[in-house]
Amino acid sequence: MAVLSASGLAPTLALLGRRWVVLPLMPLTGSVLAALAATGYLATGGTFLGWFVVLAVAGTAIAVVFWVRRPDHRPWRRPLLSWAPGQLWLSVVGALGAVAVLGACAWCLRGLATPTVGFDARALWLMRGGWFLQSHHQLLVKMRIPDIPLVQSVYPPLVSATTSLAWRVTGDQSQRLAVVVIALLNSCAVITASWALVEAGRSAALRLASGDGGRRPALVSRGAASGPALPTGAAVVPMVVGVVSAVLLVFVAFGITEPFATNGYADPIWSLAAVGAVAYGLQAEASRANLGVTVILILVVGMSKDEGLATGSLLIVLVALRGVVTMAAGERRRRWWHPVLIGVAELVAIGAWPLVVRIVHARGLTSNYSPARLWASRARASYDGMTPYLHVLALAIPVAVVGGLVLSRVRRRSGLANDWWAWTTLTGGLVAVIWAFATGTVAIKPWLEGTVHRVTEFPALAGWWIVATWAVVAGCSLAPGAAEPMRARRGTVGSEPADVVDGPVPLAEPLSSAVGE
Amino acid sequence: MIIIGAGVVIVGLTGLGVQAVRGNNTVSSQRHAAIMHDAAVDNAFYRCLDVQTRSLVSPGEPVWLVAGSFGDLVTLIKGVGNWVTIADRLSSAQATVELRDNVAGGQTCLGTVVVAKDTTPHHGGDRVRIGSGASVPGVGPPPAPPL
Repeated sequence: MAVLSASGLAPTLALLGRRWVVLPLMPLTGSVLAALAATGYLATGGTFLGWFVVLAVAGTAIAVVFWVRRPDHRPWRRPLLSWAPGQLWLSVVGALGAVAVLGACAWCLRGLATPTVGFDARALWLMRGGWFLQSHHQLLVKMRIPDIPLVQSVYPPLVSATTSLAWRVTGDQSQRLAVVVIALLNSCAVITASWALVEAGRSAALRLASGDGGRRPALVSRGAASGPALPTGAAVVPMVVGVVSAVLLVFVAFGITEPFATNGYADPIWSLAAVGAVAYGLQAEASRANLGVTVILILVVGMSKDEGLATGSLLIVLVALRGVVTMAAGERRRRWWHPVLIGVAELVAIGAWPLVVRIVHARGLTSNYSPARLWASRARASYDGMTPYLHVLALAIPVAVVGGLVLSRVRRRSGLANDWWAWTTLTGGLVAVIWAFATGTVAIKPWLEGTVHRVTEFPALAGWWIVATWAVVAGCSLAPGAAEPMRARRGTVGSEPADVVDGPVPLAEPLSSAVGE
Repeated sequence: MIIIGAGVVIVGLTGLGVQAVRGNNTVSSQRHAAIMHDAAVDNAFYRCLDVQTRSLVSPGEPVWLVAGSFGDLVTLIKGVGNWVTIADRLSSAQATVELRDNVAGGQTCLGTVVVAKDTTPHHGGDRVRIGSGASVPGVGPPPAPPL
């Protein structure tokens, strides 16, 4: 984990600035570098570790060049601690939230006390980690030879590559070590996604406290002139709800993903990272830092599993779409290609592995389809199989409907985007899974029995995320004046101090398009 | 709106709370004695196969994995697939490696042993060797871990 974090430190800091969320994201960035190293090794040879070192050094060098050219983005430019009253308040809530989320995660990791290694983990995810440590010729043999009955060896490499790195660095090529490292990575993804709720609560409370243009002094206690206003009374409710829901989401996430969160499977890492990408990329206010978090998480999603590749591609399209439609009209004409370019770069990164396994003629690339006349019955069976794992929708849908009808104005004032972005991702993920079940050739009943609880992890987690988000928004409604129409106002209140540098979307400025709320 | 907002907060946090309790119970259930026992047996079984295979072939020695049955081949790959060197074709392998099930005696992995057959005259022709160095008492297969 130290090597993963060290390799991911500079790129993550360059993307995000100095923030709490950098801490859980560093190892995830390192795992992305490991996955890219595995891709490069499979494509061209050399050594896996050599590729990793080159990529880590390159990532750090690019970050340093970025800081040299943009001194205002250097993370050390602002003091380590800021004692302006508003910022101190932010830091206190942030620290409380961080401790609570971290404690919940540590408690949930007690499942690691049982030294379970999952079936697929032993048969594929962790075993393939050893392949990247063998010679390039042997790697190609193992990827190609048809006598090995593992068609899934063409799945994206992030979990296996991280395993390789852990084995190579420690010299301990044990399944146990790999399971622990992957479980810690899963925890980093959980912390990152849950942290978005803490941030949403903090941001919403400060927006509500400050966004009325100073007409309601009873709501706020003004801090330093340059710092954010200090919420008091009912205005702190969103902060409290954000922290509480973040902690609860940690337990929910582990409940949904266990035992796979602690037995080496790849399903939790992509599902949890996808929820985080929805949170930062499609729900949180637009800022450079949130976009940076989103990029890292989408790369984790797309490099972890085929289902993640499909969902990650959808996320890339939606994030780019949101980036374009939320631009002011004039800016959109000039800079529409910025979010598109970022999306294309992400697609290239997550598409590299699927391209390479085709180039090297790995086994398991041919797809067979069941007869079309069976698709309806197989889709129906898939629906029936998935239903028991998606009961959250029975809560999330009515909450979203009520929220959409009654709390939309509050949601806009709180700075959170329309939840249809999250619903679109959730639906897209479900459709992709049902399509795979409906058109596949494997007997549907055993297939569902063996996989449905894992492939529904993302939609279930996304459903709970939507519930938690509406709880934070509803917490805002308890603050007096929350539903008053917004006034256009410029400022940078509502996020971590580093956002002053990042230049978040101007506070309470009406967005240019309803679809981009 | 405040009433509805309060209702959404209560409903949302209650739902999350109930599911969080269920999640916590799910995590706790991973520490159930039966699950811990099954995991220990599973790990011991695959470690046993690993040790027995290492007693027969070295990591750099190209071998060919033979399928007595599909299940045995998957089991063998799970046990040694991360380090064994697989020949690109049978003729270039120095030995074949397979599992033999339902073997009586003490030096087995839940009744299974690893068997290597040398394929080249240089290595002794069809000489058959049985893996050694580790054993797990009982009869297999080990309890199936969750899919």
